[in-house]
Amino acid sequence: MSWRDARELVDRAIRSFEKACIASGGSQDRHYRICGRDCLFRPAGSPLASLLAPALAHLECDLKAAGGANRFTPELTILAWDSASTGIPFDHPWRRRPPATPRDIIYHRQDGIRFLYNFAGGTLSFFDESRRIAGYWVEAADTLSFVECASPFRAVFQWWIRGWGGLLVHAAAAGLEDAGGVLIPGGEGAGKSTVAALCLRHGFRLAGDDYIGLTPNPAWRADSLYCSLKLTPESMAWMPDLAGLARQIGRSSTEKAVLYLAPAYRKALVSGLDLQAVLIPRVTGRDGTVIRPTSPAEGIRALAPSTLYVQAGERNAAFEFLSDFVRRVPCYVMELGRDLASVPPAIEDFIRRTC
Amino acid sequence: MEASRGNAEGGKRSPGLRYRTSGPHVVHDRFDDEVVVINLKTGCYFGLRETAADIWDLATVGGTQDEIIASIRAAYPESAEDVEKDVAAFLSELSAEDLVLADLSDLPSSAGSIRGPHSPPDQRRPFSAPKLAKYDDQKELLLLDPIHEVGELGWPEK
Repeated sequence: MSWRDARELVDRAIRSFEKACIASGGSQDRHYRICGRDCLFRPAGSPLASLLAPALAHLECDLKAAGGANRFTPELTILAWDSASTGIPFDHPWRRRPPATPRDIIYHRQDGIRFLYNFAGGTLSFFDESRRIAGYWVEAADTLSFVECASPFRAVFQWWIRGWGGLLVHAAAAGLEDAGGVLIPGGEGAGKSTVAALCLRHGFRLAGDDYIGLTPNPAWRADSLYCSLKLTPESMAWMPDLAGLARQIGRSSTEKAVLYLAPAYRKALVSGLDLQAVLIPRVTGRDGTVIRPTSPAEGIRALAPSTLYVQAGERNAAFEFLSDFVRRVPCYVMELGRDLASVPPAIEDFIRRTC
Repeated sequence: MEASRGNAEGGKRSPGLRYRTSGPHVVHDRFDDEVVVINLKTGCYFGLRETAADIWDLATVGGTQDEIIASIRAAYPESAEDVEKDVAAFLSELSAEDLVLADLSDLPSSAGSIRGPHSPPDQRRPFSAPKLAKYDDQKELLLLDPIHEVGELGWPEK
């Protein structure tokens, strides 16, 4: 089999998806409102629907309340299928290439179509910007990792959001119902998920724990993508009331537990927050929590590396976007105290005083 | 094109070679008195202040080592003795981190456009040896799942 170009591969993928739908009894469509836009998720059969939909559950639309299906005009349609459960094979060019390392990820862009193939996960994502169609294929659904299920379609969302001037950012976003929100950046181990969970339990609104869509117009806004939360075993021990939400408990002392906050915390999960500040968490040995101003340079150091490393393509433009953001939105360091109960009141006080 | 990643290594000078960033894997920007640089290949990122930031600015607009030394020496006249050695060592360190390289660039000479240090003279601190603050706490994230960009020629089967 050969593929003349990117468009032909997308056409073949769509035909493979359609066959998979027929083989599995149809697609189990889900309708979402993501980043203020209608988005249609079309999984072929139940395995991928049950694995990938929970992370997006808080953004699902009530079509009846919205005036019926005719009022739903998707700006993004994501086709998802696997070969094992549907019996429909799908071949693509990168499967035959030996990876340079077992965890290689291949990114390819041609004619406005982007592809990402993850050798370790065996997942192929693509996005055809002109047709607003995305695809997500995996050989066998049951091989998907919990991390993949907690933040599905990350590459697709990344490309889609870039298309209208935003950026998928590695950060949490929390705020108050009657005031502004804050962006909480930081790579692995920075403490952003712990802060997000503490805020949630304190009555904050949460737009995301790990990834959000950041857009500049008219105000800087963090749009929600996922309702999942990943916590270290240590953080889980501090917040045992959240244990019931865990779909996956870490199997080692370092592996994170994956929690789904919808439906239990549905009211606290918001579609987005207007951002007033960047709060960079720092774990300290002090008693209380202190928030102090810092420079845009410290803001970009907290925000950019982990955001850029997960970008598939266009990293220079992403860096410029983030540079502009930290110049326009004030940055603060949040020195976290040993007494975790002090964290949410300190952030609440900060938001009410500053924002 | 002849290129050198460590022109100052061993004290050897290449005064005619022009510096530039090593490639698109290096992203950088100045935020007031600090330059932040990220190496997307290695997963390391860097903070450069004061003379380090000044040298970076000069090295990324095509300055030669001699031009950079002259500019820094003019900006910090009290520092004449150490400037040459410190600048050369710092450029070598930047090269070793794959952040800059020096080559016989076919770009037009940018000597005329090279400006002096960012801060005005009255706000400038005395010359101090440039320091490269290196952060590698996010390195694992990049190296665990390396994304390789395949260009147009990467389409596997025509």
